[in-house]
Amino acid sequence: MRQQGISTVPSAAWKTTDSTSFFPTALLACLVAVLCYYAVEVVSVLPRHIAPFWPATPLLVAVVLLAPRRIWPLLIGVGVAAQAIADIKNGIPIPSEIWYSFANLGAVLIATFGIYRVFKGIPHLKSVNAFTRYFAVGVILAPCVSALVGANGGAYVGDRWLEWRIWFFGDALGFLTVTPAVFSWAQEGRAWARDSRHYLELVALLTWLILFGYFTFMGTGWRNSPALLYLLVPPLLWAALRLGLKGVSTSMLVITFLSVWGAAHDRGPFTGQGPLNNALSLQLFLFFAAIPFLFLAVLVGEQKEGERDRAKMLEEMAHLNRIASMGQMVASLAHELAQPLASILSNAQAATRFANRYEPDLDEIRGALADITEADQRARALLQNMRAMFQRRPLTSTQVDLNRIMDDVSRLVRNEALRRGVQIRLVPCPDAILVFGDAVALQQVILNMVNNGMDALERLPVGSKVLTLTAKVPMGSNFGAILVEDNGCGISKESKEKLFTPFYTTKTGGMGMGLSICRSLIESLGGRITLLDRPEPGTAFQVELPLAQQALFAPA
Amino acid sequence: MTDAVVVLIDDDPGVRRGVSRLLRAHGRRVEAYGSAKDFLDQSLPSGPACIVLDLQMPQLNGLDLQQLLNKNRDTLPIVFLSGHGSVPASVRAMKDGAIDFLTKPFDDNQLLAAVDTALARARQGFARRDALDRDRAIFNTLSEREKQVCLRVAGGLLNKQIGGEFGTTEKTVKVQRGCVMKKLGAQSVADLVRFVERLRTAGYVL
Repeated sequence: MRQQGISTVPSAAWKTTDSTSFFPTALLACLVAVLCYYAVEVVSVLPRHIAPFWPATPLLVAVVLLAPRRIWPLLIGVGVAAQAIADIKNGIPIPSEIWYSFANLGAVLIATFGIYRVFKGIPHLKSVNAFTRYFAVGVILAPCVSALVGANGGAYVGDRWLEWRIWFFGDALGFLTVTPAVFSWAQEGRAWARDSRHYLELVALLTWLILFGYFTFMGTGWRNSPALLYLLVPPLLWAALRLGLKGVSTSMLVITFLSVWGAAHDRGPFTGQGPLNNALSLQLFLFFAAIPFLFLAVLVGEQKEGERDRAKMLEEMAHLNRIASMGQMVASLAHELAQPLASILSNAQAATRFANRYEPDLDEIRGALADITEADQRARALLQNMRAMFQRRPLTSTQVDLNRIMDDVSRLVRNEALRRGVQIRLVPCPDAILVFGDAVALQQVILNMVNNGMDALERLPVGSKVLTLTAKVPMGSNFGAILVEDNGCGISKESKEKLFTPFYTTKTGGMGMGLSICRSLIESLGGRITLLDRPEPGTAFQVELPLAQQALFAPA
Repeated sequence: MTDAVVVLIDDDPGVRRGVSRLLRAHGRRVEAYGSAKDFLDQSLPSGPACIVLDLQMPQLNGLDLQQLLNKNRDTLPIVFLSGHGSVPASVRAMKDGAIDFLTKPFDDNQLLAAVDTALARARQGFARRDALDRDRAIFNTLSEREKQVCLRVAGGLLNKQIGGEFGTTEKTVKVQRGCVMKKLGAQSVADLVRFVERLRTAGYVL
């Protein structure tokens, strides 16, 4: 089947059934017929040869592209035929209708196969690039060729160029609004159950447009002023910035229908120039009103997608960074787990001996069992922490005690510090410091900085290496902070500026990702990391996070 | 002996309690400390004792304590415990005279066997020290001149030579030598030599 990352197409249900069972196919064909027929009826308020807007063909193309390839010929045939029937019912002479049908067929074929070639499936109009390619094929090429054929059918007007223009813009307008609307709605799929606020906004916008449109396009007298049309810009801008391609294309459809209806009843700004010129003005207005907002919507969507990708990448990198640093800590972790296990085993074996005595010592046995339970709970807490570190998880924002974090990190690095001869001093705050943050991410950041600190202390003589962790609330600030200070070799001036840039490292074999990831993590939690200015040798980093409870802390 | 004590030093309270309990179940007296410093702050046990010692502790770690004790020539045999089991650490510990090196979690039989060996060695050491103290006391009952004679006899000098050195007659020396042998309880010159050697190897400057 098609590959283009089609994940949320609701029509996938009957689209991916490989069996060409008769019933769904017949149902689909009938649906197509009905849609095309009424699409023609809807715009038949105006005489055919000056229909400013032709939604039937683009609608057919959209439906066909969503259906399995096997039944395309059937659907195309049914769709074109339905349009022909509707036309004839509305009084188009048969010779003209033959031309028209061929023109419609041509449009459908060029658009369908052109889009299919370019996008290898359903077009995902998610980037300006993609939209431009769709524009070239569907909005320019297909209507162009179609108009060339259709212009021959005009029995009423001798000016082929005029006929061509009206036909071209009629089809082009349709491809500009109808098909993108159908595709964007189809691609939402089940997502629309999730974000009700988004849909309320769309409904509000459309309601406003309908009211406004009625006011403007159905107006007579002073309400005919074309200046009123500029009032359409704010809602369309709103749609483009917040509601995406779906919002803009739907809005444009509403505007189009209202304006066409208005013009048909000889109201609104597009009157008074004769029916043909009215139609042309209307078309030009709609066409050139739609284009910038559609492109803007696509561009904004592209941006938002980029933001989402960036957030996901940060998560991924943080995860990898965590795993890499946990690899270093495995020896520490083994040691940490060995302690409770030793306690459990010794207690259990002692209890057995006490139990096997001639007079079993129940107190000792009870004591042993209590110790075993406690040791196991310690081990459990450690495992839970490990699991959390290894999971790929999005950042959460909960209340975290900075003293706890400091404690946890010191336990994790204890082994490594002993091995490297670094003395770790802890200066916790006498009160608990509650901040908003993510416990695992915070641990990771502080761990990273402690590791950096230990690296900086490498060259000092054994016995004088000190790394201090302090938890405090800096004077008069709304943040809780952890300071990581070492008395090592300090950071050179050039390094200071590049410190947080990705891939910057002075370590041989270092990847240079640590500090930049730390900064990204802390900043996405609403905090910051700063390098403090210290006169004496050594480095001091301050990691700050927003306090969860502001009023309780006197400045430290 | 009932006055034998096992000194347990481990900074993890869970391990301390568990191992203490195990040693108690085995009928041993236990003194548990949370750090090497706490142990050193107390006076050393008076009777025979051994140490069960955790390797990795903050501030003074196990190996450093071992060095310290070796320097002071204290007979406190050590059994090491470790959460790590790193080879270089264990080799160093054994070379510096540890009884055994166990990795956590360890089996009770392993630990108790090691502790029993350590206590036996501690008792031997104690007995040796007692004997040495006794020997030294006996030596100090000799007069100055008798001490000098004793050393020269052990050095292989003849009575005549000793007499020449001190300006006395051979007969005087012979009498003094007899007194020395009697006080020291030596049956022969060989015994005397061994006595002096014992004191010398124990580090007493004579």
